[in-house]
Amino acid sequence: MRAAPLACLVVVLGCGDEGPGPAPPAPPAEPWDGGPLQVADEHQFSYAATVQIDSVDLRAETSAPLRWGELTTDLLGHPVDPLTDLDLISLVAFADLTQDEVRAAIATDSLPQSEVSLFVTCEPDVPECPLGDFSLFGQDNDIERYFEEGSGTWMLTLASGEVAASAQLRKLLFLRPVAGIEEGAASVTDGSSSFTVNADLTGATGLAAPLGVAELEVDWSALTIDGLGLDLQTQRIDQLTLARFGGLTLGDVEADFLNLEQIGDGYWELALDGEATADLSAASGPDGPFPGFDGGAPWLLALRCSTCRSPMPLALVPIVPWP
Amino acid sequence: MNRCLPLALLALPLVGCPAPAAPPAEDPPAPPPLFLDVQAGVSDAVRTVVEVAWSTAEPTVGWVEFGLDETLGQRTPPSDPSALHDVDLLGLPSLTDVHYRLVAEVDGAPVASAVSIVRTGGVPATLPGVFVESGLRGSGYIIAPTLGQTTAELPGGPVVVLDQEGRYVWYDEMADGAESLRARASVDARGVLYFVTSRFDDGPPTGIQFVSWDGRERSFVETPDAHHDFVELPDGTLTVMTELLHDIGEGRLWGLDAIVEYRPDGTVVELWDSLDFALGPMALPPDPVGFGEGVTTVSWANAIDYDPVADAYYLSLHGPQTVVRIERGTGEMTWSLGDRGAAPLPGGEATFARTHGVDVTPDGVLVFANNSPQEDCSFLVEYEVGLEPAAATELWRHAHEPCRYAYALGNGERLDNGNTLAVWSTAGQIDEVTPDGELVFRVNTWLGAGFGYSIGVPSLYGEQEER
Repeated sequence: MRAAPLACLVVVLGCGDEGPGPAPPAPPAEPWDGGPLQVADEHQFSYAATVQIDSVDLRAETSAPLRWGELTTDLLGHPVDPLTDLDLISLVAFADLTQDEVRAAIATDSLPQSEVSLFVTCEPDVPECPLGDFSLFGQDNDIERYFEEGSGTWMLTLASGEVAASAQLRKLLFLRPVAGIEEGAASVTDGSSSFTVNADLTGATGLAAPLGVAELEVDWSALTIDGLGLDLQTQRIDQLTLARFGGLTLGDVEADFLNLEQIGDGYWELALDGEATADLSAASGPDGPFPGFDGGAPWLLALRCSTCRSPMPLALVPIVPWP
Repeated sequence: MNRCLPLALLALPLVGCPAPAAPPAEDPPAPPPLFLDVQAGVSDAVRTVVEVAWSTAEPTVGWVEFGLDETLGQRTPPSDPSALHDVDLLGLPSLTDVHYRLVAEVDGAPVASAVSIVRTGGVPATLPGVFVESGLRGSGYIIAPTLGQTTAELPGGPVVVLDQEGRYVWYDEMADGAESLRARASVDARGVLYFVTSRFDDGPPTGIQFVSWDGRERSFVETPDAHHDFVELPDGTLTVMTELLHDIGEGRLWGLDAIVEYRPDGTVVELWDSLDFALGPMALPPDPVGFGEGVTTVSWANAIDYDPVADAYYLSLHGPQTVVRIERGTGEMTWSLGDRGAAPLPGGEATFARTHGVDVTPDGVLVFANNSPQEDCSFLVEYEVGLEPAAATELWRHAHEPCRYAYALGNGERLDNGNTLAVWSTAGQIDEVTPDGELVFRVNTWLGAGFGYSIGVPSLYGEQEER
């Protein structure tokens, strides 16, 4: 099942700016010349994200049961079925990172593979797997032997998608090996972890676009930063989405950021091929091809990475239709 | 070769002018056009490769000088004398303006065209995101299979080439379900060879894939039951390690390994198998007692390399934690080092375990030892090889600081400049280090991706003739 296009953008909005929307750009000195819309850093939204992950103490070097059958919502607060939505159950150890460091890195999608000291998976028929049943390439490695006190940070990850490079994290739980405590179990619940975003759309400069023109090229080759202000990984952008929010201001959109997919009244998507330009007339949605921007409604242009861990788009640009 | 160039084609007669004064400040009297029917555009198959074609009225030696600014700095190898020229500009990052000019040798002197610009295309988003250590620069190109797109444990992803700054300059995407654990430059420098296999029943066949730099030429040598690694010999022979099942009775099998050569004339030759090693140094009882149902993996070969001077292979055997040398001429094992090796390990202790990559160096053999998760510290160790008697002298050792652990794969590659590429495969990191262990270059993947057995090359054009 594929979520609505902007469904995974954000969970919780705590935006401080309550402005009415981006200041309208200065009127163009010349009529639109048919050239591409040039996305620059000033058009980029910004955000700060945090991840909350509970930690459960388990007796070190034992094969404690790990359970997730009671789960109903994922990191983003969206519904999740523990029986059908979770394809990849894995246990990841980070020998040299603290829990706080792992949280921070997940929030900013900046966790290098090199920090992984152990990666094992389990493929149970029920939403439960003993720690000792996790394996690498199907080999029984007696993983509980490595679950030693002081062996770093251990994290149970529940993900959708079976492939390491593009699995989408749905729920997380830290496991802390402690010597000498009673044997117990760990259960992943709705409160075990959550992803929180404080996004700022109104601080971005709106990108002026001509009204009613579908044959538009957009060019983001000059865009250098992502929403965190870090170097933009342009090469990882593989999807463009246009969304319209009829009857709302950009401030309204920002205030209800959690439910973008519900409050939007139109969206159009386009798969990208690695170029830094796209022809918006090739975007399509449930109601057909992109018809061009109309006035009276905020529009957002999102550039996304379907293989990134973070649900945040790599770029999110307010569009200001211009007569 | 007549190629149809895809996009952004320029079809201009370029007027020659003496190199390297390009472009001229003032137009000299126009000589007859030297460079005719010039076409330049990016390859449809590999959009970081620029294809340039032109003709000359008379046969000339020609090449292209190119770079990312007007200083150029790179060039293609000079052609044989010809009136038709067709070259690929290699080693270019995506979405970048490339400056280039054509050069022809006229009366023994180079004559160059004006500088033109062509822009490379984008690379697929399926290439994993990478980042490099700030301020460092590698000494060449890295040819690597990427990991992360067929299983949770990582194997399988596009094969790529990274430049000195960690930018993608070449790629080939895998067929669905396919994975590659090893990539090398082809001996003839025309492109990349990589090992393809699949862990899915309906996946593509196992074999060695050749892809030319421009992506237009592809060929495949099917190598059934091959696994992990391969090596190409100077004559084009492709040598693989294949799984060999040995029946020991009562439905129980040993999983052994064989060295199999696929020669350019089409013959297939099995050179050696590990049965004698299992019965000899491993001292396994040749009967079902003690073995479970089905297959018991015995020798578990993980990597192979070829020593062209000695005409011998080196294999890394994970099962007995031993590296062996096999003479190509006789198929005999003449040296072994490790838990079951004839050569005593320097220091007398187990100095490596769970071996993967093996690389023949000018001085010996370089082994990647993964070690166990508890030790959490993989490392590279190079040995000088003594044959009579079997001996090993440790020459060099390198570990990551702090420790880096690769739970599978991993290899070292001695570069032409004496540096070493340390490939911490499943840890998603490749380092270039000097003989003193100083870090020269580092590239990392983000969570969920890694690198297979990788190599470094100073140039994608092979060894260039000085001119």
